[in-house]
Amino acid sequence: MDKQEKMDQALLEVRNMTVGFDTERGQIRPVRNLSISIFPGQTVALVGESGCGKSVTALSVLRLIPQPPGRILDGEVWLEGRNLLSLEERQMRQVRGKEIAMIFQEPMTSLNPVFTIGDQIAEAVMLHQHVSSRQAYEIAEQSLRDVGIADPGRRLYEYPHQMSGGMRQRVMIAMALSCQPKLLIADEPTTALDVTIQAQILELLRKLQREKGMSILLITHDLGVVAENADVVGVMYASRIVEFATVEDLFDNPQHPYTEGLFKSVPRLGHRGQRLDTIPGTVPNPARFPAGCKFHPRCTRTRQAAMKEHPSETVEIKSAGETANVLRLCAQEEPVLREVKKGHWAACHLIDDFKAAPITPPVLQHRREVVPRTVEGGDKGILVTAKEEFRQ
Amino acid sequence: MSMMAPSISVVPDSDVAEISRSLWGDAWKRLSRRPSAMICMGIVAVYLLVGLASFLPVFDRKIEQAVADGYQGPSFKSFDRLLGTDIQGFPVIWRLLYGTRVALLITIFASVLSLGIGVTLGIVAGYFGGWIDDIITWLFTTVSSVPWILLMIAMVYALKGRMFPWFVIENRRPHFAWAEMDPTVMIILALGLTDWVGICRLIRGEVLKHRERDYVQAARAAGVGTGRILSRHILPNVFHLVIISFSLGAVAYVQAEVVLTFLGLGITGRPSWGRMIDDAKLELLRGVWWQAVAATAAIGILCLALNLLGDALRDALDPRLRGAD
Amino acid sequence: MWAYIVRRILLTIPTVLGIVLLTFVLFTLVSKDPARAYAGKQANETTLRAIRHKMGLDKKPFFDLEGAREKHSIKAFFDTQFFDLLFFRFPQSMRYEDSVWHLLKTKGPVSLAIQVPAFLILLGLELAIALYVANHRGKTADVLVTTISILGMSIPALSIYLAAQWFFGAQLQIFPVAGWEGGFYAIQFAALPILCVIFSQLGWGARFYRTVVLDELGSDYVRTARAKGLPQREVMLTHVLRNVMIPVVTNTVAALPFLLLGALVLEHLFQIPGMGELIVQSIFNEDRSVVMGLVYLTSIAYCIALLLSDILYSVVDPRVSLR
Repeated sequence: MDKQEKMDQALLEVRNMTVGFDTERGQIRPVRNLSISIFPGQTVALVGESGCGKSVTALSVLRLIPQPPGRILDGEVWLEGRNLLSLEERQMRQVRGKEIAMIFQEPMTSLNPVFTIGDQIAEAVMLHQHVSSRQAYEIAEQSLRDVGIADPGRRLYEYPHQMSGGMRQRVMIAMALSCQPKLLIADEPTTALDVTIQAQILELLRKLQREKGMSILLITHDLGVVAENADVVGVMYASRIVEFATVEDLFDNPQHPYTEGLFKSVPRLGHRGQRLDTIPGTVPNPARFPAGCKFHPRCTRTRQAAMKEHPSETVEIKSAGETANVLRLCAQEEPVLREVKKGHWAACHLIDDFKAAPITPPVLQHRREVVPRTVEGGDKGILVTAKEEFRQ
Repeated sequence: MSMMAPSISVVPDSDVAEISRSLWGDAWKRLSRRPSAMICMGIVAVYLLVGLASFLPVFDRKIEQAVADGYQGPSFKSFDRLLGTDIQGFPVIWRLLYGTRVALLITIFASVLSLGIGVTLGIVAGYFGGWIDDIITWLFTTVSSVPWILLMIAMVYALKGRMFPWFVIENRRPHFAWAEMDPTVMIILALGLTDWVGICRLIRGEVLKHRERDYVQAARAAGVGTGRILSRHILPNVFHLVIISFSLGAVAYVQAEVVLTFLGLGITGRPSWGRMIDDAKLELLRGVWWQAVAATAAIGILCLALNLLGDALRDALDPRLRGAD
Repeated sequence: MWAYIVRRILLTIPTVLGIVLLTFVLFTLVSKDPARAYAGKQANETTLRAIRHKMGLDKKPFFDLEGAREKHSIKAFFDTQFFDLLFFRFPQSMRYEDSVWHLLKTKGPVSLAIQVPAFLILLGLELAIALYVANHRGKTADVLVTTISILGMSIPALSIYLAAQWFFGAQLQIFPVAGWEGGFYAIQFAALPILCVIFSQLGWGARFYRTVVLDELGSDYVRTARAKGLPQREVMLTHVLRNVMIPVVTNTVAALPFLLLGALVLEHLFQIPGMGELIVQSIFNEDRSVVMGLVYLTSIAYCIALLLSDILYSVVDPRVSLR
């Protein structure tokens, strides 16, 4: 298999995954029928509000959700020809850390407080590479150097509490990359950090990706982070991907009303003095998903459509303390993800010719040529990223 | 898990009452959903009824009437002999039932005493702060530095054999006289005066939190008096702790009676569950098991019910767990 | 860290004074005439006076101004019951005609011979069970441990002791029913009490540490360790256990005085001549000096142990050392 062929083959392919959690009030499903592919060297972002199931997706890929109460009910997760969901736990451990590494949102608590940094990195190294503890420490030192930590030889013997949050996240990245994984899952890697540190960490991730050629699955709720880092974006809402496209396509031409709403709630340059739009209501709790399209109680598109529609085709709903008319179709039937344009998937009844669009697995090989600092978004203006916002 | 108490951001009294009523209503709904909690409540209610009934004079008579020879095993021949007889031929079943009287007296009065002291000091310390808080904190730190069993022993030791002005009934004529303290009263005092530390600490912490809440600040700004703030705003918000402490405290008191009696500092002159187990320490080696087993079962079932009920109450009432719903 | 330790030590001083005051109030001000209680009702005034002198009760309660003036010594001013207590100058035991300190030296090791092995075995079992059931949450073993521990908390410890004494001592006759012998044969007499301690406390302790382990298992660092590819066993035995050891170590230090104190009920039942039994006997014998001395000493020891445990906490937990 030559190199080009390898680049054309998906590194990780999640097919139709559904995750359930058993609770006192019955089973909830925070992730349903989710499919996503990641190609070598690609950065795929999963974006959505908290509670939409993006973190559960990430943990499920590594089979790290607490079991019980959690259970992966359906689907497959293919990594280079192996279905991770059917591996033995012992084989799965060979995947974790070695082939797929993960970093988390909370660098403050994600490191064990009673072990030194060196111990914790060397532990991962010794687990996956057959080296002596001395060599493991050397590798640990090198990976600390790689993530830009000054004086790594001394830092090895420090405890996590002696470091700042950004420093700890660097340690987490060093630990994750110490075994040269093919895929890094970054679950909200910058959310808990200061804005300047956020930018540094993202810059570091981009640099390391260029150097090591790994893929990144980036979980975030920050569109600025997406704009700067992602090649391909999946927008998640209430347990499902509702839109999937290249980052340029998505920012230029969002199809789903939820995605539109997300963009409207982000500050833009050149639109000074305008009040930011917000999406009314909140993400529904997985225990109380509405029927039909999960977004219809908050959707403005269906309300506008309902005004023009014959009353027999609409229903009255209560949402966020007020009543509204929405389309019966939206309230009763959940749309599936369809390829509404070439290379652009979305799940909304109100997209033109939605019923006619084919149902295809969302796969995009796209990688952007050079990682731009900011993305020009046509008439949407330029998204203010965390870094720029801070400079103003 | 959220550390927030149910948020009450209201000034008028009627609304507070409304909300706290729904807190109790909620708690009751939660409890009634758990069959085990309801069973436990039923068991405790039965003990309570038997305890109240045991104040009837017939119990005083029955425990001193030999129904057979000494050390007869349990038999179904008559109710009196259901649990066998003790060394003097007195019916164990009646001694056991009479024991609920002592248990009830001890748990109720010791709880009232310790909760009364603990809640009062806790609220005062938490609400007023400053040097009052310092003194009360010092007091409970000191008391909690003495191991509980030793403190109880010291307390009983100090009270034992001393004469107290006492209300006695002689020839049906009630009058005051100097007398030694009744052992039951002594145990109640020893338990009540030593066990207030836990609840005091808990309430103080809770009041400290509530004192800074908006609704208390608002009430204070509106000119509501201290007494009224304490009774209408603070107390209802910490009262659930009192309920939980009551059910778990009762377990400790019933068991402490056994320990004190066994150490010779407890009940004398009348049957109690501790007395029965103490009697059994020599009987058991001779194969006379019924008295020990009966008293152990009586304590075990009651304490099991109270422990489970206490857990259930904590789940249902503690605001710290409410956020997790 | 040093500032924290110094502050913590200073905060202990008022508590120690409080303990002195509390003991003094209970044993001197509230208590009945101890000399009369010891001597019995028939004793005449001369005997009583002699006993009072022996018990140190003829001294002034707080300060002795007259004595200081007569003897022209400041020392006599503080030669009072309160300062005797404060400076550990306990009167001799009436019953044993021996000093409290010497009694402590002879009886203490007997208590330790039972309490230390019991404590160590108990701790090991508790941790092992807690780690196991926390890892198998909701499974049969977990439910079983929770059930047994609630049952164990509900049944009086004395009943458990009695049952064990009857079963192992009287029925199976593996161990002597009660008694004590010094030296090597102590093992034989200590075994059953040790078993009793384990039986009566294992459930509670396992349940306690189960909660601690479960708390740790929910932390983010456990997720990180698993994401590295560590097997669950190793996650438990290195990452979790190391964190659980922090409360274990501090709890152990706080428990030390209780080991010396022994268990009153246990020693009384099995007739073991340890510290616990000494207290019980001294209460029977109205031996005020011993009861007072032991209550005071244990409380002070407990107070110091709490202090040490707090300080140790700041040493073993790397997070605290920055404070």
